[in-house]
Amino acid sequence: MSDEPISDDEVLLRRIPSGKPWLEPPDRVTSANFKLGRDDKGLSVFRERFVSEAELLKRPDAIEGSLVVRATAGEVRRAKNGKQEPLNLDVIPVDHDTNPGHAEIRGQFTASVAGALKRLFLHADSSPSDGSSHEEVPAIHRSSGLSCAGSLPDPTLVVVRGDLSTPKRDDE
Amino acid sequence: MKSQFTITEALIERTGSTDPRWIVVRCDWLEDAERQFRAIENLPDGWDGNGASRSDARSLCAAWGLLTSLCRVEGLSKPHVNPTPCGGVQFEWENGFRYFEIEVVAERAATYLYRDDAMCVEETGEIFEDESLNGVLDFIRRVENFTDRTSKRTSAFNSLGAREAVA
Repeated sequence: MSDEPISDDEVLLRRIPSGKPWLEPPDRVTSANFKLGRDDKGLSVFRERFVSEAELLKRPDAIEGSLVVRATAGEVRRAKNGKQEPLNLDVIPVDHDTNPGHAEIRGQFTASVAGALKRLFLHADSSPSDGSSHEEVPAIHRSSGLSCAGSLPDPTLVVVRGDLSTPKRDDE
Repeated sequence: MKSQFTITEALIERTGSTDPRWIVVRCDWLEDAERQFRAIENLPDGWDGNGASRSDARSLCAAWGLLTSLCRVEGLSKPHVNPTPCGGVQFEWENGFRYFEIEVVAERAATYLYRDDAMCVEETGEIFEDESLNGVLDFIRRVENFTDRTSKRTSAFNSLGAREAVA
């Protein structure tokens, strides 16, 4: 069973459908991928301890062309919005026989949360267990320069001192 | 696809008539967007592999009306068009550190999110039938007008974005 508490260092996987059916770039991840459905209590993710990326993509309900993005439970719990305010998200196991390793991100789901999770899962440091590389880096992260501490999981990118409206690079 | 969205047709007319910044013309990307809408309209339940609902006809129609209204604003860039798991549709503009999305959540209501990750700015809100689209258009213009000034470190904090953050 995988209903034991989820530690901060556990890697979570989220399956993302391709945008190809509605003529968007097939590998573009959107905040819509992190929004809840009508009856959802939380956002479905899978614990890599129990389900590998390859297994997740082979499941019968997987849509052809899907990709998998990842983040740790700790990163999710520490997630902040664009103003660096904590979003107070949690990750809990929601496991049953037909869905081993299933978990849900719970919290007050808003557009802000979906946007934060998109960025978090795209930029998370947790590397794939199979050693393959992930190149799902959007244009927003390719740009060099200022970033907000907390909006990206790598704290070395930026240090914000004092007023959040004036972020400074840590190499200044 | 019907181009009826009673709110926004009225809104955009009001917008165009009261604010000279928004010159009303017809854009060149509406046909592409229409193809996307038709594809989204045909998505089945569970289209994302995570239990998403198929698109809601009224939300889709409302979103189309909003888009055709926005399309009449001169020079507006085409947004990304994506279905949402609850049967809605959202539009996204992204440029460098700036991002704006608007999600049609009901026949006569939408929510929006604006972020500027360089300046730690985030704004969210809702728009309804009787509100002007000027605010929405301002956000879109902010995204479109973004230029990466980070290579000029000494002047970065005096940028337009910095003033916006302070304001």
